[in-house]
Amino acid sequence: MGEYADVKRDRVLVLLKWLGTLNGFEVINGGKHQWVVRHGTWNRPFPVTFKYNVVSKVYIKELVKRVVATGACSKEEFDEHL
Amino acid sequence: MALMSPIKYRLHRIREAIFGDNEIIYEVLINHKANLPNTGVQVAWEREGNFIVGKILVGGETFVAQGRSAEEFVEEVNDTLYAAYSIPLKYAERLGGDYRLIPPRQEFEDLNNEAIKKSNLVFGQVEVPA
Repeated sequence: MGEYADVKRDRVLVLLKWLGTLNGFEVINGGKHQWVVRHGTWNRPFPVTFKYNVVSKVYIKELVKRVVATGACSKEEFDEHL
Repeated sequence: MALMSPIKYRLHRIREAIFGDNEIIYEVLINHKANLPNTGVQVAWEREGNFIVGKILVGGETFVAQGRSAEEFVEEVNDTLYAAYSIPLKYAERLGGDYRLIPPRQEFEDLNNEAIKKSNLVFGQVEVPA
């Protein structure tokens, strides 16, 4: 999963809106400037910052790992919405 | 609450600050305080372009934070933890706000030193002298 690059914030919002439609997922705002991704099987939600115009690839790598592990979508489906 | 863009969320926060319920319930505050990590928050960070990006390791979970400067990075680590532990903003501000957890002075200087490209640090609460 080393192929990701930093992503524009607007693209991340589109991705997260799609993620919120998947079974078991909820995406809300939290903190001062975070989008917060929740899933029923996770102990804690996963925040993604929207403070800057660009979101680091490290967020994307960590998020895709968590999302694919839930079985809600494949890595390819995730990548299609990025 | 529907997912909001950064601008809409900022307006929402302003509305909440002016017209929202800003009452702090002491028992809830204590509960949030007990749930948050106070020490031993490990952060493995590195410089990527204009950003400092770090993985936060706490309670067996991994979160991510990014900032343009050392100060902003520390603020983001704290904001990320409030969001991950579902602490409402009005309580977060009472629990120490942006600088509830901070790294030791030397490690903070390393964050500011552009010659250092990556390192690990441990965030903790500042001990207030009695």
